[in-house]
Amino acid sequence: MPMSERAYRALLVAYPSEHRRLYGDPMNQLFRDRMRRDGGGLGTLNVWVQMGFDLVASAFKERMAALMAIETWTSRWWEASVVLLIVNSMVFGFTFTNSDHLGWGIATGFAPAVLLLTGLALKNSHPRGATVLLTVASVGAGFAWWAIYTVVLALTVVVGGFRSGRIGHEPPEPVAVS
Amino acid sequence: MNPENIVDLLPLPVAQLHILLALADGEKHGYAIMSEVEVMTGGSVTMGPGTLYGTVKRMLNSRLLEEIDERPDPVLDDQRRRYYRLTGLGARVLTAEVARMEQLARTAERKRTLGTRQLGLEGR
Repeated sequence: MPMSERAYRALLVAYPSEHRRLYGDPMNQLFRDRMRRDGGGLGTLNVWVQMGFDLVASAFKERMAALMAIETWTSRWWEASVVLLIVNSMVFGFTFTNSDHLGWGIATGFAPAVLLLTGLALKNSHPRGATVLLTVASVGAGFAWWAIYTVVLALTVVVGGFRSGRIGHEPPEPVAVS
Repeated sequence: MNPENIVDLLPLPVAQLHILLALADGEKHGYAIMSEVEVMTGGSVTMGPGTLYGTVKRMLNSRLLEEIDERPDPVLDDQRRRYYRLTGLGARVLTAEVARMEQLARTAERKRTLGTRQLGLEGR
């Protein structure tokens, strides 16, 4: 097999595996036909430039299509999101209810549960929306809650601490009583 | 989407229109489709393998094309080649798309005439 064909065959790895399985051989065949017709000297370079652009553009398109296809959002993804959401909920709920922030504890305990139930309810009728909702809930909300909690905690300690005089001031010197 | 509803499939992407036109006069394999598209477009469009088979895949899913097992010339032909032909739906979609483009061309022509009159350029 000529080097060009070997190289093109290797580059097909840019496509999703399912696409390669179905169309890898005919694509190779077409490349071979093009090389046979137009290859040789500068012709080979010309074919490679065309094939290069075609490969990059179409592989990107196929990858995006595979990514957006609901079939690829497997049940494993769902299971991972659900587990993450439940763990997230438990950790945040526990953390907040065992601190001074009972309201946050209730909110973070219930909000993921509501999102999870909504996602499950929509799973069949609106599978893509439900999956996005669950993913955002389990991953995005987790980060958001941590960020909010950190800011609230920082404000409580810094602002509250300054106001109460516990932070930023030297403790008063003991007064000697004669 | 109901695949029988032609309007849902229009306007066709350019690559799909080229492939439908290439197959309008009979079944062809990938290389023959590519060559036909080059001839039809005067060499301005050369479909690479990625574009061709990506488009063919979507057209098979939309049932505009079908793959056929029989070989037009089994003696001369390479058995590894895959042949495609238009389905009934594909032929109807091609007809509808060409009619849509004709309508568009007529509208453009009318507007061009109108524009020429408005600008006082008629007859130049």
